[in-house]
Amino acid sequence: MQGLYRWVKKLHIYAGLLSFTGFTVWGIVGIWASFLPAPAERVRPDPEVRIIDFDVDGTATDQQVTDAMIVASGLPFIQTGRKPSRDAQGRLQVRYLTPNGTRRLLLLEDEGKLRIESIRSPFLGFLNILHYQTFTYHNPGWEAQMWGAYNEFSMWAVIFMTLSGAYMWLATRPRIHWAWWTVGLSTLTMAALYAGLR
Amino acid sequence: MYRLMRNIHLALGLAFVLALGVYMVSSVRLAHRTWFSARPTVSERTLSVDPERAKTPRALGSHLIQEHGLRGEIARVQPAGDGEFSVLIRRLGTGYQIRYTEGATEAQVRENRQAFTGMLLGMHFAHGFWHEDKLINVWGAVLLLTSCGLFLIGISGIYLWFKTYDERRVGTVLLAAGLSFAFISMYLIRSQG
Repeated sequence: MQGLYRWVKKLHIYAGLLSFTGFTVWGIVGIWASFLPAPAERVRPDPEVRIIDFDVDGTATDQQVTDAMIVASGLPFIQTGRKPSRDAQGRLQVRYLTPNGTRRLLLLEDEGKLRIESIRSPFLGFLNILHYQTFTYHNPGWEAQMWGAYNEFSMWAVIFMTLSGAYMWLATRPRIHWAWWTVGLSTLTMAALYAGLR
Repeated sequence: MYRLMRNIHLALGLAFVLALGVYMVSSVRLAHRTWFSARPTVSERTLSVDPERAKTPRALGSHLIQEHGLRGEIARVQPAGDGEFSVLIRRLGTGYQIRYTEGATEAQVRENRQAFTGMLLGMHFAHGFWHEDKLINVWGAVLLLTSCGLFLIGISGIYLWFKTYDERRVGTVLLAAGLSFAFISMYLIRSQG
């Protein structure tokens, strides 16, 4: 039993040290999100615009044109195959979100141009997008996958630390009254909130 | 001091274990969508409406909230043409899509109720203190406290590790490895513009 406790404690410490940056990012994002204004009151900055020459092959499908737009834009964190949409004037466009901000590629077919719009996210907005990237769900690109792998590791590490922390408490100090009171109050509060919100 | 920090670490962990559980379970659901098959329950019904109190979409929404006990806040209003409009009333885990034609005495309500993990997802996304539904603001306070708690758990954990002399060497390597990997990844992403 002593050996098991020693190993659980060791792994608890190691998991915490490795995932420290990950859950610190979540904490920062949680505090930032708490103080965001209501969606209607959020200020949306004007995009930076770049216009490049772009000729459309008249026989190409929307998807083929879109793929060509993505390649021509040279932007990171997007790959061909992304589904296009059309704006209010019926122009072909691709909108997407990266950790660095929102991007929009708009085809100006009559002018033979491609309009590339970028709105750079502030640093905390950047962390917000990072905090939900995982090993499987992330923007295209190996850098994003690297972070996604770390973020997902952090998620499992925190789950492990929660379980191992509970084990260490019960294995060493199960008779602390205030700990049981804390668990009881926390459970009651969460159950009441869940029921109310439901 | 060690004993105090150990108690703080335990107390914070226990105080926020369920709130953290909400975020962790919903994160697993987001990261591994195919593992979960829970589908929302959808039901439809017709509610009587006083046309005098439903002259605008928002008035209709308020009328249904007050008279028919639909709980939530008006999230979206859309005209559907020919004097028809739709209103979405939403609370965490449940949405009411309402279709109404101006002057009519009835409204069609389609209720979409998420299963347990869907509800947790709704709680994960809810934040801030600007909601009409005060209970969501209370949940927003839980998010804020949990985020602060996460910081303090991390800081007290670092202290406890540092005072565990046997683990200092390996721990330093692991902490440095985690920080380096995370910051290099972040830098590589941010530097791409």
